[in-house]
Amino acid sequence: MTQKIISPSTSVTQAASTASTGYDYTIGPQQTLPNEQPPPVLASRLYNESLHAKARKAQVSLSAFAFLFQEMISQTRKSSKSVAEIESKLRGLGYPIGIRLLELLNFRSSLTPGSRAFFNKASSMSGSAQGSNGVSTQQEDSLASTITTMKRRDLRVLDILQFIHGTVWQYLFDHVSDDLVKSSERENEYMIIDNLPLLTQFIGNNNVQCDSFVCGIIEGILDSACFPCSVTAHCMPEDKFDRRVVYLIKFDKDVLEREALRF
Amino acid sequence: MSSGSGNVQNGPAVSTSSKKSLRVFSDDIWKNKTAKINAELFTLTYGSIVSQLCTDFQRDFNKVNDQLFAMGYNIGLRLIEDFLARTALPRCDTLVKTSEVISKCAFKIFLNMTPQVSNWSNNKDVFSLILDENPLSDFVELPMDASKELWYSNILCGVLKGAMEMVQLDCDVWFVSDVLRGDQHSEIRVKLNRILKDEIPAGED
Amino acid sequence: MTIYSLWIFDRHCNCIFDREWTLKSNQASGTTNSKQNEDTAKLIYGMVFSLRSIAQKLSRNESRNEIRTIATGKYRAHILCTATGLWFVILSDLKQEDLSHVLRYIYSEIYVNYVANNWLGPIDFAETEQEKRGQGTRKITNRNFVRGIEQFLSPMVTR
Repeated sequence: MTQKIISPSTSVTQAASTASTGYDYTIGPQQTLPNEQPPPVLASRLYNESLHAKARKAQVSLSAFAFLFQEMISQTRKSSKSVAEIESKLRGLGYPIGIRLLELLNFRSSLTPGSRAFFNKASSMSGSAQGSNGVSTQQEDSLASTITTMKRRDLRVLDILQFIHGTVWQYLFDHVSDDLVKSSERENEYMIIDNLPLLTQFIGNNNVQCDSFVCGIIEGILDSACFPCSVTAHCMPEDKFDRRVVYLIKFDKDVLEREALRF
Repeated sequence: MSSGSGNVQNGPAVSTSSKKSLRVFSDDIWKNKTAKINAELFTLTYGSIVSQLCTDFQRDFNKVNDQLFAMGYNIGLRLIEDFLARTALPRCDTLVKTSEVISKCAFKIFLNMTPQVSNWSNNKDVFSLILDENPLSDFVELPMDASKELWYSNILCGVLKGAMEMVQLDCDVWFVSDVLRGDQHSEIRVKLNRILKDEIPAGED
Repeated sequence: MTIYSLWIFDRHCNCIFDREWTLKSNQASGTTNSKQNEDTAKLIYGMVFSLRSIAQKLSRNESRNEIRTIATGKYRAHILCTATGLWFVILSDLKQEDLSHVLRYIYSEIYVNYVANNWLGPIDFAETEQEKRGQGTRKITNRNFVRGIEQFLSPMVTR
């Protein structure tokens, strides 16, 4: 099969089977004309939905997640030959989540409290409309238009780590991580500590570090924020926390070099 | 349905015939007796699994559908025990009751949603679950090459199949439409083939 | 308050867990505890099985008639049957009127957590057709499960 480019199914229709994929800057904005054929894919409802945290389904049961997570690990085990392979696959499954979270959470932290009320109105309207038409009738009500300043990209190691330790952990696991420590031995190493890891609590003791999944998420975030690094999970029980996990983050050398520049 | 039932003595005795009480009963379990997790993490994790499978199977979406179903089946075999432990519900006498329990109770306490039950066949052995929302497929837009073949949330069918088999209901479960493919609704069809007999020890029959 | 033993049967009529607290192995006959338990398990299964069928027959259609306890001169058996076909049976002295809360706890907090939620262990203990219908001998060996049962029930076993 020839390689098909994934077209965004926005209101710009995929003019049936021509090579046009989305917006063509050589032509400029196109008017959407009623087409003979129905467009191959209806514009997804997705684009009408708010990204505001309060507009979305807040929670599912932990057991639903635990079942999915364990089945994911079990499939990964079946298709792997070594523990290292399982861990790297789990990492690979977490990584794309990290990339998305950085965008999503930054977007959300840019929202002002004012945009909340604004948004509620819009959601009740679009909720009743629920049409599958691609062009939002409430363009001016879009969440993005309420943002006055986007949150700045984190430039310092400590800032981005704080973001993971606080915002990300709170978002994923409903509590901030228990500690954020700088290694006393090596310049480039930091540790994020979780006394009660939420995701792996049902998994009996075994060799596979299922927390590699979370390592993948952290790596995804740091990588796409331009802090290339490698993250590993280590089980280090302490006192009454027998499942305590330490996430060891080793930044690449150039991150430190950049950090040393004063600006 | 033949013998076998959970002991409801200790759990709140709920009559599955009363729609209202089943809803209240499930709401209570969801609100007060269920540990919860961020739904978006669930969504993103599932998305990560599906996209990985698409790569692993070199975009052979029929294989991806089968694999998702198989994963769901494995989950269903275990999830049913969790479900029964939390609800203490007995076996249902009719498929109508089963459908109510699935939509109002099972979907509610695991995914905090309540699909509608509809499209009953005349002899009440086939019904549909209409999903107005679906935490598995939030954020998702199917790529062009997948939009005709991939049943993105097929894992749900597997879960239903596995869980129902464990209470001796041999069913076929499949998606007939999905909003991700541009359909108006997402609809899961459930067809009861037969009621399985409880095993009896060798030599007793 | 005395609990004598706990038995768990799966949907294949197999005893997948047994724990006897009070029975001494019978040195004279030369049989070991496990062999003894194997036989006792079969008898207990048969008893519950028969009584369940009778109870089912006695009940009017529609209304369910589930066995909960059976008492003899010296023992009482407490039974929990789940919709998935698991049976949990506890034998106790006669002072225990009703241990259904104990059985339910074992099911929902111990079995579900350590067997159903443990992907590394099996959920179905019969691996082949030959191990179904009461002919299997596999047991739950999961350490967490065994420890959970021990911790929960030991205080109720009085010497």
